[in-house]
This record gives sequence, structure tokens and C-alpha cells, in this order.
Amino acid sequence: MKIKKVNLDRKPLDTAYVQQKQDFQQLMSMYRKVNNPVWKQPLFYGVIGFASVAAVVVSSLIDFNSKPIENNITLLQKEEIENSSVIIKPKIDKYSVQQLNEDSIKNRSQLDYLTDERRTQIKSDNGVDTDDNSSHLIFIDDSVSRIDGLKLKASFPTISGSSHGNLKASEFCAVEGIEMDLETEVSSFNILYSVGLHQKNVQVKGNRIPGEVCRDMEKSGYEQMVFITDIFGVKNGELVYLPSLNFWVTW
Amino acid sequence: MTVNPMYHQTNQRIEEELDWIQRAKRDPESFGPLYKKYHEQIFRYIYQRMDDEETAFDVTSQVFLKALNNLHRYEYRGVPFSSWLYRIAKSELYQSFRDRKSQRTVNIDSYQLYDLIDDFEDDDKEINRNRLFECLKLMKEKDMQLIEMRFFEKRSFREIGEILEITENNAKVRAFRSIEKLKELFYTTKIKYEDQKS
Repeated sequence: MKIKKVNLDRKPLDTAYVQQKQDFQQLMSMYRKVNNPVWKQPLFYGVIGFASVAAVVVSSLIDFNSKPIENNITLLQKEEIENSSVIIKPKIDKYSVQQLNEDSIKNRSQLDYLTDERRTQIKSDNGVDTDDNSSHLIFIDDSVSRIDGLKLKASFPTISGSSHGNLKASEFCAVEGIEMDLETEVSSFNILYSVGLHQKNVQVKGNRIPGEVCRDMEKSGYEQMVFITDIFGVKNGELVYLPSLNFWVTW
Repeated sequence: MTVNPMYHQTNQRIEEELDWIQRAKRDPESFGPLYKKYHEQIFRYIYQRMDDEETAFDVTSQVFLKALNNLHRYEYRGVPFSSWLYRIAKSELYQSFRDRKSQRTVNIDSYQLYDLIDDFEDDDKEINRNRLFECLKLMKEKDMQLIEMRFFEKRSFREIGEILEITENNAKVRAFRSIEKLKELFYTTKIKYEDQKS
């Protein structure tokens, strides 16, 4: 650093003037400001804490409402299969159930994910010949189905004539259950629904929505989205995998 | 000129000051007596090196604020509290020059120039005084600060060493070299001037 200026005989400041400029209180207020910034004050934490809690609650509510599918999968994976009161003894290993649910939700080609063991189980569950010939398994997606390379037109199963959208509880729980065309009979399906804050996954044999499921949903007393997945049917003695359904059930 | 009163204090006074420091460490409000005692000399040290009075008061406030914030770090190990404050003042002063892009200034009185010329064993004529004044402008800052502290502010070598964080002997050597540079500069310009005259 260079010296830029040399002053000669500058007027000196007297001691009284310098002492008059002393301000210890100002120094202390500066010290408090530096050592007690806004983010260290209790009020700040009150506001921020409240905002954080509110943000967490709101985000969890949004998450709960907007992502039911993921929630269902998670719960399904954990415990609900064993805890379900209406479950008809699951013969499918958890891995397969989980794999199928994820895949059916994503509307992917489910045939590719079925293991030989799984196919055998499905066939035996439904009384179908259990020889290890994959041509017995018919895949049907939203518009097109395949049987060993052959493409067939397919349609959705229905409940009270609907395959999606809003459905009244009386229609949903109707005795007709899940219907397909005249040649196809629905033999088993999975149903995912909410009871209070919990989700239940039930595997059902037959095509009717079980009375216990309807009572559970009625007890909950609120409208809810219900997912019906892993729908299997028998068509001309062959096992058919049908597209999943979901309904907004109203009471 | 200000002389550090630490070097003229009795042991009782020094102990009293250390007691104030310990109290201020526990309760910053107890920093008051230290502030009152050293405010003026720290202000004068700063004002001596800058032009603007208000800026000097601002920098002084910053020095005491920094001292208060870092008081927990101060331990008495032979370096007086005043020297610790001067170190902070030096650092804040240079920070202020950088922040405000202001200039390092040297303020001297005529009698200090005559004292220097007397040291050089030359005549204290008006012409020599003016020549020395011009030479001071040419000095580097690091030399100037030693000349200021030793010859204008009359500080001991020990205190200079403590402020500059060098040994007492080193302070002696550096002060001697700085004054020799000024002397050399002074005589060089004097010879040039006399040559031009002849």
C-alpha cells in the first residue's frame, strides 16, 4: 500500500470531543444484533416451526390423495395380504403378487413377467390343465390380446355394465359381480380398498365382490377409489388374464 | 501524542483490567470500563492514519465490536489487552481502506519534523523541513508505520513488536532500517537540490 497523502499540522481533536463520541450503548446494540440474528430468535422458530409442520401436513395430505396406487403397493408389499380378513388363502407367492400388481397398474405387457411357477399355480388354482404349455395362458391388454402370436380383439370386464368411473355402492356390490362376455367367466381377482386410514388387499375366488368387503367400505363411510387387479377368467376351458378395473365408489 | 498507558500501569491496575476482561467474557455489558479506557487511544491511532474523522469513528466502533465478539479468545500471556486492541485496529484499518477505497494518510506536526531533522544532525531550517516532508511522501507504507509508531507516537520497541506481531529486537532492527531509508532519501534529494543550485 502506498501513502497517498501527508498532512502537516492537522487541527488536533481535543479529548473532550473524542470522549463525547463514545457510545457504549450503540456498541452493545450492534453486538446484540450481530449475536442475535433473526434466525436465532424464538419468534422466528415459532413461525418457521409452524410453517414446517403445516408444510409437512399439507404435503402428506396431497401425497395421500394424489398417489393412492403407490400407497397401495407399499402396503400390499408389507402386510395386508396376511392381515386381510376376507382373504382366500393366497397360493401365489408374494413376489408374484407384487410383480403382477405393479405391472397391471402400469399397464405393461404382463405375460412377460409371469414365471413358469406362477403360471402353473394360476392354472392349478383355476382347475385348468397344468401341463407346462404357455399357449394356455391368454394375455389380454386394453385393446389387443395374443395367444402364441395370434391377435384377438378383447374387451374389458364390467361391474353393473361399467368398466371404470363412478359407481354407486349398490351397483358395485351387486350379485352379478364382475362380468365378461358370455364365453368368459371371471374366476378370481384382487381388490384393493381403504378401511379408515388403512388399505386392504383381498384376493377373491369367483366373480362377486364379497359382502365383507362391501361392509368394510360402508363402515368407512366415504367415497373411495377401488382397484380390481389380477382378474383371471376361464374362456373355453383356458385361463385368461383380464385387464384391471378401477372405480370411484360412491355411497 | 498517545502513549500506551499499559506500560505505565501498576500491577494492581493490570490485575483490575484482567478482572474486567474476565467479567466481560461472562457478561458483555461489563465491557464498558474497557471501552471507556481504550476508546480514545484506539480512535487516535486510527485517525492518525486516515483523513476522514467520521470514518475513523466508524472504524473505531468496528474495532470494539470485533474485540467484544472475540473476547473469549483473549488470554493474557504477556501481551497487554491494549496491544491486542491495536492489532484489531490495524486489521480493521486496512480492511476499511480496501472497502472504502480510501487512502492511507500520514498526519504529522511540524515539531515532529524538526525532531527528525535533529536526529539526522542537520540544520532545522525551513528548507530542510520541506524536503523531509516531501521525502515522507515517497516512503513505503511498511517503513512509514514503523517511523510513525517509533518517532511520532513514541511507542516502545516492545509495544511496536506486540502490535506488529514481531519480536522486540525485530522491531528495533526494522525501525532502524526504516529511519535509515528516510535519511538516505533525505540526503539524496538534498544533494540533487544543491547540485542543481550550483
